[in-house]
Amino acid sequence: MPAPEMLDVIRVVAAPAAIASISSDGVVLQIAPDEAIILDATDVVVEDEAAITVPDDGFVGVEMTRDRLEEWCRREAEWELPDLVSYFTQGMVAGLPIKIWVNGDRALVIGRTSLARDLEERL
Amino acid sequence: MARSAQLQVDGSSVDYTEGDSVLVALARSGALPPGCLCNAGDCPNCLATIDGQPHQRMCQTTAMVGMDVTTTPVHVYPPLPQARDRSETPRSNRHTDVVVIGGGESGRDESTRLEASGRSVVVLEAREGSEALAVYRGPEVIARIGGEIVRLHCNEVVVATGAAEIHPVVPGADLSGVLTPRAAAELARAGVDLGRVIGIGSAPEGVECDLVEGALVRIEGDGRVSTVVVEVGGEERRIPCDTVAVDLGSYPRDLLARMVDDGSVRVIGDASAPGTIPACPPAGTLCPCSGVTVEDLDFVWDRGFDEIELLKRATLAGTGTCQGVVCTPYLRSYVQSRGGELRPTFTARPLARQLTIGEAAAGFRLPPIHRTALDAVHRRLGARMDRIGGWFRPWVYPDTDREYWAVREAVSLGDVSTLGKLVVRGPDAVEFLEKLYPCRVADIQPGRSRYALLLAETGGLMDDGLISRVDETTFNLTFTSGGASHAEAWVRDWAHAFGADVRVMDRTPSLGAINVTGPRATELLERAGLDEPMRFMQHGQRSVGGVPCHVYRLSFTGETSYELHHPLRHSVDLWNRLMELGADLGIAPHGLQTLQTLRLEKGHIIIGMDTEPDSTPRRLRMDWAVKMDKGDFVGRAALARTDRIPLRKLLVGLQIDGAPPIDGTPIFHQGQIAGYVTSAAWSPVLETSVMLAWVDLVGGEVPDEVTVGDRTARHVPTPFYDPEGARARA
Repeated sequence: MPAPEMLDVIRVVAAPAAIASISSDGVVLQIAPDEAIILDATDVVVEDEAAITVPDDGFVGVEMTRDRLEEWCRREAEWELPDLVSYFTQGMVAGLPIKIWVNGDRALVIGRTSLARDLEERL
Repeated sequence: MARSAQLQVDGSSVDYTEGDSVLVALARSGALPPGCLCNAGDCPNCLATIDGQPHQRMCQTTAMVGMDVTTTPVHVYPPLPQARDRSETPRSNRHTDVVVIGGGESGRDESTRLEASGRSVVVLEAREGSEALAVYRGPEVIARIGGEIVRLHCNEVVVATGAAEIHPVVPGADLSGVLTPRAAAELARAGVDLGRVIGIGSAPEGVECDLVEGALVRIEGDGRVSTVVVEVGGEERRIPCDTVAVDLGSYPRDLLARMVDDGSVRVIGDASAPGTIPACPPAGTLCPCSGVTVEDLDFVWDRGFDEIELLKRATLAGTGTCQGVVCTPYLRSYVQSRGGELRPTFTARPLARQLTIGEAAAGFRLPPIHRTALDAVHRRLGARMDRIGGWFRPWVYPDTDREYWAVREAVSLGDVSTLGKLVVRGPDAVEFLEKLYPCRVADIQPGRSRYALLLAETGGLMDDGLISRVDETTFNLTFTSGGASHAEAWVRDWAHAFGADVRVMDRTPSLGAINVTGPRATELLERAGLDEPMRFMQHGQRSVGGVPCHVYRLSFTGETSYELHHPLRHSVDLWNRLMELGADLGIAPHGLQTLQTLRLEKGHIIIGMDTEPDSTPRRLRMDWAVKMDKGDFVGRAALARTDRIPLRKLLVGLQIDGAPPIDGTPIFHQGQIAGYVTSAAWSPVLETSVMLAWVDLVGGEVPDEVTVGDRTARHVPTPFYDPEGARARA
């Protein structure tokens, strides 16, 4: 399993309506009603003058197959992964706060940069 | 065709046929363990240490080639494992609609019915290698399945564990050859030669036996049963035999059903039946696991332990291997026979089966400790890392003298990435922060910072840090490392409560921060390309060593200090560049131990260390940070009320000759306890020990001198060092 690598993230905190309508060429992952992280974005438009939009080094990611993810979560997560082709979800896995983005057969496991070593050890 | 092989039992080879349990193999060899056997995993009478693992039930363990079995004598606790098994027990999670515990007739029928209605079902049956250990709220069933601990998350649990047969309590019941009817039937079916079998109460199914009338009085024999004695019409009748099968009725196996009472667990079949209460025996061992006799129960009953729960606690009956399966019917009959009240069965606590420490710890994860981006750098520099505030932080590097003098006389770096960092932005930002903080916020100009306290509604100090204004509607807030996560929740909660139109972003784990401190800090940063170094309590975006930083000019150490907040990806480069550029300036990093001394010399408090929950700014002599005339803010009402209460104690500075006392040392004045030391350190620059301490007032004043241990400490004003703050502002 490769080591977690720092992700290129644009982080946005804005009014919930603005979060729901973010326009970007990156992958928008809503992590709270008023917050989103956007992966690999060069362009982000948020319809909220008070929005806080910043590049953020606080996230690392590990890519894996969907099968590998499911096997890991069977061991380490007390909650059930959605049975969907593509989805974004988050919760505690292996005692760590984890975000999971699944697209077809591929999965991206996202963790905190400050917990990257624990993530690597617990994968 | 079934294959035969051998296993080792107490050092002897025993043949078995594929599919046999260890007990069946042993019984077929003619060596039945002593004590009444149930062959159903209910009792403790066929325990053995199997392949080094104690507390294994032979009747529930499938015989395997080469298996090493050491039987456990009756009424004896198995030995502790001699070899340490450090292998990790695997753990997994499964999700299903229903878990059915018990694969007998009622369990199978129920699972078929449930599956037919479209629900997913997991059936646990101990004899088939899947054993339920516990049921928790959720509901959640913990099971041992094929050497793995499985957490089954479901919507409903069905307990179909049937009923356990009641064991006889008579003299001789611990002989070999005493069986329950079901055990007799199963062993006979497996080809075990039981010899002449006497049935009492009923004839075991499919077993050739003589059914005798009468009440069982005792069983006789030398190791193995040779005679059974019954009473018929007031007379004893002796019947020679090899095996006696005793039917005393059954009692529900409802232990797992009693672990949760939230309606998510359903009991069916015999497990839901009321069960038989046998006659209370006049003597004998009721609880074979803990060896509790009728006499033991009498002893505690006479001392007031007059209900089942109390009997359990006083004698440990029901707390052993079988968890009360054998003794509970007898405990109830005992209470009934003594005229006690039979209360409903009590809540059962997990677990229902023994498990190893490894199994208990399966999948357990310690809470993670955050690491800053400089973690590896600190370790390479020889730092001793400590867990503080949820982070690994450098405590010492380890030359504290060098660290200290680098700060006081040259320049030093400290990793302060762990500080809480919040951005608050929005049209209501000023109004919101005015309500949140006790200091003025509206008059902080963009590019300026202000030290601020964070108060609870009680007026007690909760945290402290800086408010730094970026523009009209944007503020950067900092908090202590340990208080960061709570402060974030606090700010969000109040923003919501006030209905403030603000956005809040926690940048604590997203930004690195390096504190550059010492009289030569400005010189170092100019070398690193910092143009227009800011003045004290100013901040702004600058490039340092080619890294975009938000630079804050402040001071916790008492010397000129700059905090460089920067993207994490640049932390290592920025640190290394500064160390390189400062080599000829005498640069050295400092750890938290040194920082403790530095801040104490300045009289700076650490929340939680020098404060108590009721420490208001006035008690800390920090009223200057509170503006009572500015309008309402969190904690104001409490401050207004407590300000009318005369002060009884203050946090003050003390100085003492010699080594510092340990934190927490009590303080005396005129022989009476008068406070305690919150922080103390030897001050190299002042060549004396300094401390902060809570001291009771005498006549409204702090005594000039107090006693700490057997020494006299003097009350002195703080800051101890550079009281005018000239060095920090230089």
